[in-house]
Amino acid sequence: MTNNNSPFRVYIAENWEKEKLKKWLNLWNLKKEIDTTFKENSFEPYNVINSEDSVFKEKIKEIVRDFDKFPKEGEIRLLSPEFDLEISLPKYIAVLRKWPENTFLVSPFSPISIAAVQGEFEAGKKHFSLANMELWNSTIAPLQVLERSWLADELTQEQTNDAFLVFKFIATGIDLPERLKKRIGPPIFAEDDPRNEYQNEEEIKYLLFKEACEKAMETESALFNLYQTVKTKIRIFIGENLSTEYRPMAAGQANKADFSIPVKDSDFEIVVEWDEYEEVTKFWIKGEKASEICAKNNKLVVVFENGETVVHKFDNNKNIFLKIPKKNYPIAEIKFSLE
Amino acid sequence: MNNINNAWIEWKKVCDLAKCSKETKMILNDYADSILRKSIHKISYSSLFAENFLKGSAFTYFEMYSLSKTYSQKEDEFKGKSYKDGIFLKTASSQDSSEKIINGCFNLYLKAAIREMYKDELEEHDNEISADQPLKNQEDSTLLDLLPDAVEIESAFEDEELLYLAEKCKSELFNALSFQDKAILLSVFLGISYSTSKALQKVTDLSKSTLGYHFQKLFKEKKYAYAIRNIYPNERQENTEIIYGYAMILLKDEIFSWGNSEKRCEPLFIEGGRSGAFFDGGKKK
Repeated sequence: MTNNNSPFRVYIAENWEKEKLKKWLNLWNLKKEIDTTFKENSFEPYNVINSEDSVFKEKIKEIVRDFDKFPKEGEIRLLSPEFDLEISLPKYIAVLRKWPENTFLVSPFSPISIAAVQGEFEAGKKHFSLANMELWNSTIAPLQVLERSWLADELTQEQTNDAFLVFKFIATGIDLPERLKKRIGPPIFAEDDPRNEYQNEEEIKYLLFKEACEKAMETESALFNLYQTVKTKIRIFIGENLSTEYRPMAAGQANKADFSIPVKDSDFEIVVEWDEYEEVTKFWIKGEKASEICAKNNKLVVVFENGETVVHKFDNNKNIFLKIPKKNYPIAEIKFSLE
Repeated sequence: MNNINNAWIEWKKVCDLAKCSKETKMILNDYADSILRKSIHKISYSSLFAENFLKGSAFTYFEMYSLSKTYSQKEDEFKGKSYKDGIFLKTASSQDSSEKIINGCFNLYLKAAIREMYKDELEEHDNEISADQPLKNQEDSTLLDLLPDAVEIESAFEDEELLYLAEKCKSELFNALSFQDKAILLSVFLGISYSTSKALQKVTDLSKSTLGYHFQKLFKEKKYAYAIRNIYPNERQENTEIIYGYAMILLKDEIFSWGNSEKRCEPLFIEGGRSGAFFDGGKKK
């Protein structure tokens, strides 16, 4: 469709495009007709939650599977219904690529099994609800949002790569390999094309999911870029024993490494202090027994979320401060070993 | 709990209805039939096919949502039935009654499954629909109106040397163009699509399909490239084609002033003034 050696881009519809659009329009019209027919005949059920219904709700909650953690490329996942604006068909999404900083490029599947527009791709899955991918409706999902889903199926490596090529085709305009050209849909030209209505409907369906992704990423980016971050729960160990689980947010502190942690059953606090001039996190001991603790060869070990550790020896009051340059992972644990 | 609630729980716990107890099978099939019976005969596409739905096994259509992948481990089979988890989590966490949520989901799933089942039958019936036939539910449009042939002109000239050559030979190209091709070029500059334009058919006295042939010759097959080759016989074919494209774009002013001086072209300017035609490659996002 694009003429590489010419300043013209000429589009002349091919027969397969006309055929595909015809089939799609037939399905779209059928969908409208079925929607209307079912609506006319629908009845509003008695909408009261009585005690029997409450028992039923409790029972079914118990038999729902837990979400599947650790999403991977090529997986097809069913999103949690918490992302539904209203009662909805299953929202299946494909995990296309692992993206930087614990995020993933994901793409929904269309409820209509024929590719409607150039940004849709018939990847080769046989089941009708997984037959057609909406690459135009892709989004970046952070891990914590994407984990609110169940693993349902998988794409092959080839299907995943092909879908990513179609994504690049619509996002950057790269040429599509010949073998994929008939597996996408035809372009849209007219403003009154019913596919515009379809795309709007599909976009709205994923609104809550996309909002949740954006919100989570805004938080993430604030955490990662400005200062040393901490996990929502920092575990303090004295020797091998877990002494304290400190939650900075619950204590009215920020996610920034800048607060004092009272250690349970002891006479000291661990001060964690972000120094924005030196861009280091300082650790030191505060309290009546601080001097006594630092006078011995006690050790302080800071553990980051990725498992990285920094060990500090107080060495008879010589090294009162531990200073750690900013790292990209949050602080997860502080271990204190007393002699 | 009442029988239908127990039936739903049993269905959730086992893989599908076929493995449920006789009582559960009966309850859920009756439930599915009662919903389907109210609606299916009203769908106009096929009265014959509709009868097949009413044989006491309507629940099967709901279970079309089970993914049929063969899983390596027995417990993994439930991953293919994740839609059940979706329905039940929604039901359990909703402020509405379970009946309302389950009925809502069931209706929606059933509609989509029916649509898919009709798909093949639709294709058999609709093979003979022509591209010029008005569309169902949209009688002002035809398939051709939705997929008109189109040309988009790049705004930047990347090769200054070839641009210079194009500037020098554009008059020869203009003189080579036929009346119809000048009118087609004018319609492109006016943002009019030949396949939807009544004015262009009138001005050129060509049918839609003949216009399509001219359009393809002019832009895709570069019909007048010979005029460029006559002037620059030693240029590589690739460069000749680029010069052809550049020269066409550079003709814009000449084509407009030609059109203004041709009384016959007036309908094109009138239509172009109100045309909303555009070409965006169909990439909405």
